[in-house]
Amino acid sequence: MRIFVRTALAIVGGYVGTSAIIAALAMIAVAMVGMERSEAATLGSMLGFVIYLGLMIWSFAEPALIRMTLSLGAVTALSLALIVLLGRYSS
Amino acid sequence: MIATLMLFAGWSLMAASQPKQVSRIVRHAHLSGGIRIGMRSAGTSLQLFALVLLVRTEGPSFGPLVWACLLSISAMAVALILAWLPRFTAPTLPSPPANGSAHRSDRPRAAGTAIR
Amino acid sequence: MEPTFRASMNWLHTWSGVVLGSLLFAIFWMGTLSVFDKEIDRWMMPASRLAWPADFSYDAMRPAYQAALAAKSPSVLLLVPNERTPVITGLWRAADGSFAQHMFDPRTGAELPDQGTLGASRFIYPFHYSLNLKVLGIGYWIVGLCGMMMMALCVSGVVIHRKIFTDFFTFRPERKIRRTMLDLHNVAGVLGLPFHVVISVSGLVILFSLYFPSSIWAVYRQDARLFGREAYGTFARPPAKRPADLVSFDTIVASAKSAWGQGEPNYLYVFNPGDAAAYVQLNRSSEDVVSNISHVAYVDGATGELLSAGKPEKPAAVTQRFIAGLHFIQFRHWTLRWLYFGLGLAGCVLIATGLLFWVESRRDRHRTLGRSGARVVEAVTVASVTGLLIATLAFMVTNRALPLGTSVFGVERGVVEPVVFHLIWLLSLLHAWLFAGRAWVGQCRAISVLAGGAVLLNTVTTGDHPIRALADRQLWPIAGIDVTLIISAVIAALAAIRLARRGRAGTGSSMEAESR
Repeated sequence: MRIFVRTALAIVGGYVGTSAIIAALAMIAVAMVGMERSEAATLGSMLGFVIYLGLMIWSFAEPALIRMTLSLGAVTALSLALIVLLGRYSS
Repeated sequence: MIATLMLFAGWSLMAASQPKQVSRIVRHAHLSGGIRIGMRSAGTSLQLFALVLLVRTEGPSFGPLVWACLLSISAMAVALILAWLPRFTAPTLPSPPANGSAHRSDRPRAAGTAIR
Repeated sequence: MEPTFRASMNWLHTWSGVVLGSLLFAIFWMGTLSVFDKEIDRWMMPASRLAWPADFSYDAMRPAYQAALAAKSPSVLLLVPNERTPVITGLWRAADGSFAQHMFDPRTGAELPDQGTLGASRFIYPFHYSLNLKVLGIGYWIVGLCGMMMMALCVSGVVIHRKIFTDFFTFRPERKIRRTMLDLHNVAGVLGLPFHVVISVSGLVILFSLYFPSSIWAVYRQDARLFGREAYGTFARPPAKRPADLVSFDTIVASAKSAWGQGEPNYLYVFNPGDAAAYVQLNRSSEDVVSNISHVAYVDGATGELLSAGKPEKPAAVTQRFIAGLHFIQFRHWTLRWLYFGLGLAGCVLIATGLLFWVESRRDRHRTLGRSGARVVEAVTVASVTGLLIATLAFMVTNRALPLGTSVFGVERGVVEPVVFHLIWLLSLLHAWLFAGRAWVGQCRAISVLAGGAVLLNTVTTGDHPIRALADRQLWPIAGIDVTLIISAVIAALAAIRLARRGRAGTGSSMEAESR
């Protein structure tokens, strides 16, 4: 049972987390580094595959399911917070 | 040109592999550390030389790509040749000593190393 | 999840391999075939085995354009013929909304009769990236997940391979079948590692805007449609609703070339055909570069003037197109193309031996424990590996066995071929389930018969037998395929003989599988 939960979290949660992270990274790149929009978007998207891979590997390596869930959630929440904050800052 | 380079990449890998695989063929051979290092350096140099040649003939983007592909393919060719070489060379070589050879892969490894 | 990192990676490698191995093999197999998809097209569409004219005139595409105009399509994509596809291809939407693809002679512009087949470029190639599952684009997502897991499998595979350098070249076919399978799996994996990793990530990067659009949404918000324009310089304008003629294609191409310097277009995409505001999008052919370049030029249809030209010059966009190019392989480099084919086959061997190793190592244990896991996986493995090969060959054999224009139960040949493919695939699963370990022998024999039969049928129906095909440059694609089929038939036959011999010699439980 725990295996299924972990797998679902790794695949779906990892994907959502990665999407949030790269969105935040792209916004940081545009706002702080002054990168062009299309460049930041493309770079973020390509990094997404690498980040997702890393998250996936780590999700199955982390022994404690609780710790894995909380860490993934924390990273996602942090990224979403950054997205909201930067969104308000730039508009 | 390309065929020559293939040989370069291929046989250079062969040279680099000799230290580990040679005991599979010759059974009781033991290469000294110095020879091993020499062979591996020679093999690596040949591979790098092949890269330089490929970049010169194919250009800066096709060159490394062809090299990378050839590296893999020639390595696989070397592995396949090594796999079947003992069958052809065994009758011509001196018989192995009674004690277990120094080569690790001849010792029966626990079949379940990679599986649970 | 396990006490050590290596143990966790072992679990991940084993289970993602067992669960996704069959799908991964299918994707890799179809991908390997897609390296030569245009050549397979020539084999399945004999009327397209034409000589590519070196003095091709773009105005030969006029009749194709006229046909699209007559169909009142809002746009028409005209593919410029080249060495691998020596016909003009026109794609447009017919009045009833259906998608139409027509081929035209590159010299005269005359339309070639409908070839009555999807061929490789419309069945095998789409199978590779979308499993031909179009509903909600679910096929893309399954393939995407498989691509990600392939990378995870490569990483975990390296982590668990303890003596990766010592065993670099180790392949011992004289040992027991399980040891041999693992050796071959390791050799195919480690020696081909750069390829397996790069091909997986590059395939995913092609569809970056589909798989990870969040970064685009985040920085563009409501203006997401501007992404294409800013990244690639795309251009668009609505029709003027006034009729006007299109100037000659040679003029249009000349305008585009003035923006590129040198190079030929690989397609002409006419928007608002027959309208005063018609414009043509041309992309420079990428035959001479690795990158899947997007150097587009927009030319006014009525005047032939250059409207705009764009190409990504910024690092991220250029990198993305280069990585995509590593996967698309649209360059003209025959050595490299064959190398990719060989490495793709190595990938297929990697996946197949992985599955076979798992089956071999679990078979006895599961039988004594009364579990059916290994038996199920074995049946699925047989169907996924040899079964898939049989289905592919059946697809090609049906194409040659059924004459052009015939229909079976009122279904035309182009639809019959995929149906046969899937039916045969299903039958191979049934066969594998019923015969368990002995199924390999029969299926190898079937591969041998079908491959040889395909070559024979090609000779009988088109007269382009291998010797003639080798002699005539324009028929070299056919020669390549026929020779490959013959070699495959021989290998399959030898495998069947060895397997049958082993089966007779060994006891029931040692009836094993050999990879191709």
